[in-house]
Amino acid sequence: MPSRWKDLLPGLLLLAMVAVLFAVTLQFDTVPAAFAQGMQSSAMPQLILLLIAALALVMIYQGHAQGEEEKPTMSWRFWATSALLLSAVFLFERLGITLTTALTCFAIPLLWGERRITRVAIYSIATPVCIYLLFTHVLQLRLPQGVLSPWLS
Amino acid sequence: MEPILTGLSILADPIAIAVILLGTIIGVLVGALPGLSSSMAVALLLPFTIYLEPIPAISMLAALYCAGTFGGSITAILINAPGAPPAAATAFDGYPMAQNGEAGRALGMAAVSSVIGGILSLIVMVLAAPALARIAHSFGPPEYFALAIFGLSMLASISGKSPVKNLIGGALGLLIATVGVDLTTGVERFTFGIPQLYEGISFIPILIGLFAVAELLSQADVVDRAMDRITLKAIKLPSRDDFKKVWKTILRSSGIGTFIGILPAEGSTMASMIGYNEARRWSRNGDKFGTGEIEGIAGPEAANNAATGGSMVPTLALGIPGSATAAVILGGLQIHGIRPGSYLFENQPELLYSIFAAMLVANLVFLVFGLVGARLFSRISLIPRTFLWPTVFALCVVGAYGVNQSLVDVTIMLIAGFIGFWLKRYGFGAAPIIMGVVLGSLVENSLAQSLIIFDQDASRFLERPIALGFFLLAFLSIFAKPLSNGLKGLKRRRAVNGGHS
Amino acid sequence: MRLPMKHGYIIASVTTAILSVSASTLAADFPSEPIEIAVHTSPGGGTDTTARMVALTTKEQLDSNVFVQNRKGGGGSVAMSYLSEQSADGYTVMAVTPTHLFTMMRGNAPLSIDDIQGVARATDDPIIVMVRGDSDYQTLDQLVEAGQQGTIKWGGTQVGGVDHIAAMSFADAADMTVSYVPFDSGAEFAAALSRGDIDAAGLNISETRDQIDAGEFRPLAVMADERMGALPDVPTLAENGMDVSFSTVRGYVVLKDTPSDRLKILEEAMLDGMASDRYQEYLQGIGLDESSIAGAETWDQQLHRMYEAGEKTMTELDLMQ
Repeated sequence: MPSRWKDLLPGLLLLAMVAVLFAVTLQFDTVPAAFAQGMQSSAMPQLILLLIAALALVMIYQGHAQGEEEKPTMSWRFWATSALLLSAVFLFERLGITLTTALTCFAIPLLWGERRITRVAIYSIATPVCIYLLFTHVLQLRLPQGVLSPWLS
Repeated sequence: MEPILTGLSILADPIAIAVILLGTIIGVLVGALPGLSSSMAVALLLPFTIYLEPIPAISMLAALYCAGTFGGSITAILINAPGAPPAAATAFDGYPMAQNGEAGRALGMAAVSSVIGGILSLIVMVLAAPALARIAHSFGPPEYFALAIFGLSMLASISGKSPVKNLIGGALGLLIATVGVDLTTGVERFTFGIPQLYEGISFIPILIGLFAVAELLSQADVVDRAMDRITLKAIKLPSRDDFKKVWKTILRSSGIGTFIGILPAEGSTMASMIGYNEARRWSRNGDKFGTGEIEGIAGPEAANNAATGGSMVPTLALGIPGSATAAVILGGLQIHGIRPGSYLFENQPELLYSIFAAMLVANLVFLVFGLVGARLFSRISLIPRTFLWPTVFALCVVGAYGVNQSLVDVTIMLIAGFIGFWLKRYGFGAAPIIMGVVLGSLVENSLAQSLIIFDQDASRFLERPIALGFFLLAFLSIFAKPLSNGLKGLKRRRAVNGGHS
Repeated sequence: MRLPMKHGYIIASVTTAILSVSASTLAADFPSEPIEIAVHTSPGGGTDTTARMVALTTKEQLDSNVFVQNRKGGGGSVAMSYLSEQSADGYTVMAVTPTHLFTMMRGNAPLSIDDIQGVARATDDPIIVMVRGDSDYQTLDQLVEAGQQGTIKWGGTQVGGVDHIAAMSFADAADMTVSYVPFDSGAEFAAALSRGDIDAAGLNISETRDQIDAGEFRPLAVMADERMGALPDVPTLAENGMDVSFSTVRGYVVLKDTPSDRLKILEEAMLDGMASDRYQEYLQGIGLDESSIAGAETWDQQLHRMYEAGEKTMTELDLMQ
């Protein structure tokens, strides 16, 4: 990537997103003209998408001949945390919210360099339990418990 | 005067005072948990209020609502996780302040400006509620469209970042708001066959994702700060000089909040955004906003609490809720056999004044709570981040799930978090996105409604004086600065020419 | 208070069912577990609030807990797929509104009208043809005439919803031209009507009782078979020769295969609960009266009738996909 084009990457990503979503708007159902009353359902999304495309081009143009500014580093810790959060998405359904948050509460501190493992273990059990008690028993809000549902009501 | 006194007499009823206090405390606590919004708390408490008399019951919910709006700012400041949508604008400068070790100063300012905003608006309500109800009633689709355009006119300047990026962020927000079934055609848009997207994307998961989850991802790479250095400073409250600096901002935002709040839309969120933007526009340190400027807390906080009182007006007088929480309170009225509508003011004016009295008490209680608590809560910013952020994440998951009790919302929250992180990295702020989401459906629906009402003749917007006024404000908001710069330039040139002659 | 989650009990009940198939159908041990009412909206709306009131008052009639669970999405399709996955044991009740029927008609639901069985109706709020009190349209005929010569701007909720289908059915039957203005809620188009932004609207009495009493709104006709107790002087559309009957109804259903003795127990508990002062007061608060309440037979018939009428209009209007 030429470093003299600032904001080239986000600009291109935005343009790609606009292209994909614009194609999606062409698939929207149309309603009989009698109900559309001047505006079809795709009109506003298409207008917004074209606006984003135009603004993205302006942004790319403005970034011309400017160096990319210094960005904070992204170490393996960031990627590992991201991967952890993404895998949590798939675990919520199966393991339930309480068990999955116990896992994230255990893994994130270790990942971030916490070395007092007993402390982390106690913490990772206490936090989800407190949340569970607060939400399910005080606020009467049932959380999906996945595999634990026979035991946690 | 008599109904006002009858209404205020609620303050002599020990049971009523007790439930109002209870409502206030629950409100602050619930508002302070990320994602657990006051609307959810009111909804969950609703069935229990049935055991109370109608007036104490509604007063309790109103107090909870007021306190919840304030409580939302606590987490916004401490962990960049607005507990409620109206607190989003507070996070812009509040969280940077907490990171600079000034959590106590930020929390104290939030408490004081909230209370001043809240009380000023309540005074206006008590004096002029029926007149304000008439104003709210006169707002039809064309007026809303003009108001939304005014809101959008602030997008370019809402954060100190590049105007183009702000506009892109705003447009992305508008795009998010188009997801779901279109009101005017009944057609599904961008739902990708997921039934949970049919009613649109909820605001709360987006909010939590953009703020809290994005911050969690940034925190993954932060090196631990030296804790001892900021410990003492963190619990310090705002000084007298701070208040000297912000009193104008507080007054201005209270006015904005009171007015925007009576309009039956997502009033408090819009009010706090406008309050923030105006604070920035009028401040001498405008370009430092977003880095921890104390006026950036006073602006939105005074506005959103002023709007909270205001939003009860359309809720009671028109049956059109001023916010998500007000919508639930509307349900509460009906449980107790009270029909909202313009005749409520004539038939049961004392109810209205009792609600205002309850909100007044709530404001005074959370002033104490807020100032005493500020020292306590500010210590949260001292918890090691290795333990703080996993806890925030766990609360966010439950908060996102709770709104609609749907795991799809949890996924939306995480996606919003990743997108928010990347956008922040490339210099896009969260403020315009939030503004776009708030205004999105308002813009589209009010335009479509207006055009049908006007027989597709857009020039008939000019027949509506209020709409015209907002269009003018929007025009000024965009062009005032270039124009005044141009005028100054002209004057200078004239002065130079004058000197020659 | 402890409200155990259903899944645990499903496992438990499956085990008991295996051990004693005959015993599980005995009415005597129903309900021995908490009963869930699945609601298709977020907490706080009219349907949710009504369901919570019904849960609260029904609970008092039974030994078991009755709780509301919000299962929002897809115009009721999330709640309907949830119901379809449960066993027909009467422990899962679903709140039904016209929205569910339209979702079924469009084929977006895993259930059809023949898979459900009505238990009880909680609110029945017929749609009323309403104009402003100072409007030129004194009678229904005048409105219809104006609509045949010109266009009537008509307010309602979302396109494709009950208000829209009702307005279009009426326009179709009366041969008028209607320009439909959709709003987010009834209160919003009531305000639009009183401002004069729209000419007429299909409103419920629950939203407009005070305005009617004060003469601010004028009801022209009721979209029901019989006149309303609260508006004895307002004719029905049926009297005017139009077979158009639409109502904002909220009621409860279970799966069709639910044992009839359990259905009976549920129906009685709900009806007794709704007869309580607390529920009656709530009905009054939303502007309705006890005629809203109906048992399984009436409610089930009404569901089928509304379904057939809606299907007819949607086909004629080309709204089916």
